[in-house]
Parts: sequence; structure tokens; C-alpha cells
Amino acid sequence: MAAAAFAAAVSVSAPVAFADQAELQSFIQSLSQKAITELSSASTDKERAAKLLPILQQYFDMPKLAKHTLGLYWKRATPEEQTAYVDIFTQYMSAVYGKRFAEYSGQSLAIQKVRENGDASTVFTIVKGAEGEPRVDWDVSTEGGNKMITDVRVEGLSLAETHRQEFSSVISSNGGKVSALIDILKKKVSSL
Amino acid sequence: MFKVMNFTKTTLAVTSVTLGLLASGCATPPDPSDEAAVQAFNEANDPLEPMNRYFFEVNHGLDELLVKPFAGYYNIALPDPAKDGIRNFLRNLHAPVILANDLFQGEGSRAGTTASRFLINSTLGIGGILDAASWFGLNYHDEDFGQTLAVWGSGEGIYLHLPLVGPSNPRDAGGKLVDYVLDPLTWVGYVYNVSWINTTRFAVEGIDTRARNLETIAELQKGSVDFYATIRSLYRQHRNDAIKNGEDPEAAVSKVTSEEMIPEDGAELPSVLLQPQPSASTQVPTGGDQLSEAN
Repeated sequence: MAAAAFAAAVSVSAPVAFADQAELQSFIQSLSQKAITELSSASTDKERAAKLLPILQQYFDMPKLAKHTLGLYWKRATPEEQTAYVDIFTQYMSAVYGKRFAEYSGQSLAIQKVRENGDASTVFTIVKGAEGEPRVDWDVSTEGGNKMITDVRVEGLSLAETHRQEFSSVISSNGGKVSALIDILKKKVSSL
Repeated sequence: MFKVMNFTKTTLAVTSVTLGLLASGCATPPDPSDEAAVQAFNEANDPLEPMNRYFFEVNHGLDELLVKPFAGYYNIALPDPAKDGIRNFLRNLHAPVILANDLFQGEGSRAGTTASRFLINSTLGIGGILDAASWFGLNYHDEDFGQTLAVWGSGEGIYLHLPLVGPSNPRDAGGKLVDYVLDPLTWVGYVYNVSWINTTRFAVEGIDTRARNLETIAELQKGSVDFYATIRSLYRQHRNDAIKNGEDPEAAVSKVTSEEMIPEDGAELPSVLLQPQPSASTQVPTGGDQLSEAN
């Protein structure tokens, strides 16, 4: 009886944060499960890219990520260029990261901890079964109740930052033109 | 005497080549009114970019010609346990330098780990071939004087891409020299006239690391639209992660901001919740973009 009352008291007073934590964990887990089931059935890189694209759009804030990778050059791009860029960037991500699933051999993602900080949370994971069990941190925005990944860091190497610095080098060496980057990415995507 | 003269000659040759490249190797700063370009230029912090790109190409050529093929043979010729044995042995040789840097950084418990590892692996681990210490939960970590300098407050300085060494900066390059001097094996090499052991060690380390990253680097290169800039970015991020010993990059920042962000009524605090959940695991592909094993 006392135990039941205690349990009731605990469940009533349990902070909302724990519910969010569980949701964040299952969000990341559903992403990895979905990616593996969808992509392990694919046999070519093109197929993997095609299957990864909708997953990226569902789980990642692709417009925000794309905008971030252009840095200050985002503002310089025309609205048409911005739209074209988000599109080609999403294709580029699918092509580059879809390929990585070709080497998949049963590794698993283990969640270590979740940190909530307002609208921006981070889910800390490690990849079990991969050499050195690399750390993978997922930044998840919960703005407006929608969960969207805004960055992934593998052993401290940020996806968003690496591509931003890579792309800004490309733009600077092409006379500051965003259209040049778009063309280069298009070529890259078709070559992958 | 011969040796000294040869050394002087080589140094002179290298210096003159470097100076020549420096003169022609400076990057042109962007138009100061171009905000985006100025920011990109400052952030790259790579005023010697043309020279760096030259050495990047040279290193890349050497890699294609020598290192990559060797690494490929190494992968084919040796089974995984043999490769692990070689890496364990090389890591164990590094222990004195790692220990010194653990101590320089005031990392007592990490220094203890390094010292215990050295004792256990040198004995139970048969001269370092087996990582016996990891059976007791004493896992390997790396440390070097470049990281020590950073902990002491030194900035990294401009970006450098050095011949043979690869991505670096004045802090890390200086750190490498200090580590070289700190290493007992360096002195064994000099005193007993067996410096080939250090050359061999350097070569095998290079081959082993390359062999372990063959696919990762190939994928990275294939997907990149400016491989030089990708490596520059990854090197910096990797070093910053290593300096923090792989701890949460934003933990320190959010601690500060969370104090400032405490609402007046103290209603809600950003929470950092530790929840180890070994059971919560699902399937995910290997993080193929991992460049290093441990920091």
C-alpha cells in the first residue's frame, strides 16, 4: 500500500524532462533503425543515396543545416540560389553518407546520455562494434515540438562545421560565387 | 663530422626551398569590404595557403606512391591480431612521453593510468605486444606536448601543412620537437648510434595509421569538394577534441550560459543528465568518418 502510494507520488512528481529524454532517445534510435533497414537492402551507391534522402529530410533540419554550411555567403545568395542550394546540399549529403552504409557490418548505437538545454538537446552515443567505439553526438532541435537533427559530431568532428569550412574555401576560391559551389556540388553528386 | 656537414647541407637546402616558397606562398588577403570573404579568410587562418597546398600535393603524391601501397600490403599481409600487436607495441613505446605530458597538464589520474599501463603492458603484455592493461579497464589515451601547450594557454597559430608531417601549426610542430627530445628512445638512438630504430618506428607508425584509415580517407576524399580545406578543418577539430580529452565540447560553455540563463523565478534549469543505458542500443552503421582512435 505504502509502496503504491510512493509509486504514485513519484510518477506524479516525475519531471517532464524525463519524458523528453525518453523521446529524444527513441528519436535517435528510430533514425538508426530506419536507416539500417532501408539502406542495408540497397545494393548500389545510387540506391543507397535515393533511400537516405527522404530519411535525411524526415530527421534532419536540412534547410537549417544547408544555411549553416554557407555561413555568411547564405545572405549573398539569391532566393533561387538558396532553394537550389538546399536541394543540391541534401542530395550531396545523401550521396556522400549513403555510401558509408555499404560497409555496414552489424555495428550498434548505444545511448550514453542526453543533455537538454532549452530547445537544443544533445544525445550522446557510441558506436558499439566499430573500432575504438567512436563517440557520436547528435544535436537535436526541439523547437516548435518538432524534433530535427541540426548537427552530428563524430569524435568531436562536426558535420556542419566541416562542410561549412570546406564550402567557404570553395566559394572564396571561386570569386565568392555561391553559384560556383552549386555547380561543383552538382558535378560531385553525379560522379558519386 | 661527415654527418654534421650533411645535416647542415640538408638544413640549408630545406631552408632555402622553404624561404622561396614562403616568398611566393602567401595568400592574398580578400577585399576588406567583402564581409563574407574576410570572415572566411580569418577563420581559415591560413596565410601560407599556397605553400601549404603545395606541400599538401607533395604529401599526397608521396602517399599515393609509397605510403598507401605499403599500407595496402600491410593490411593484406598481416592478420588483425598481428596489426594490433604492432600498434600496442608502438603505443607502449610512447608511454614515457604520454606520461610526461599527463603530468605537465596536471592530469594525475590519467598519469596514473599511463604509468600503470606501461608497467602492466611491458611485463604481462610481453614487452607491450599485448594491451593487457585494457583487461583491467586501463584504456589507452594519447597526449603530446602540443596539447600540453594548449592546456597551458597557447594558441595554435596559423595553419601549416608540413612535408611528411602533414597538417600542423606552430604550436603542434613545436610540441612534436619537444616530444622528440622528451622521448628516452631518442637518446638511446643517439647514444648507442642506433637512430634507425626511431626512423623505423616513425615509418611503421605511419604505415599502421594509414592502413587503419585506408577506407575512411578514400571515402572522405571521394566525397570532398575541397579535400585540402576538409583536412584543415578536421585537423583543427580533432586537435581541439584531443586537447579537451574528448570531453563534451559544449559542457563548459553550457555550464557558463546555464548560470546566466537561470530565470529570475528559478523555474527551469537546463539539465545535464547522466543516464548510462547499456541496454538502449540499436543498429547503426559504423561512423566511417572517424579519424582517430583515442585522444
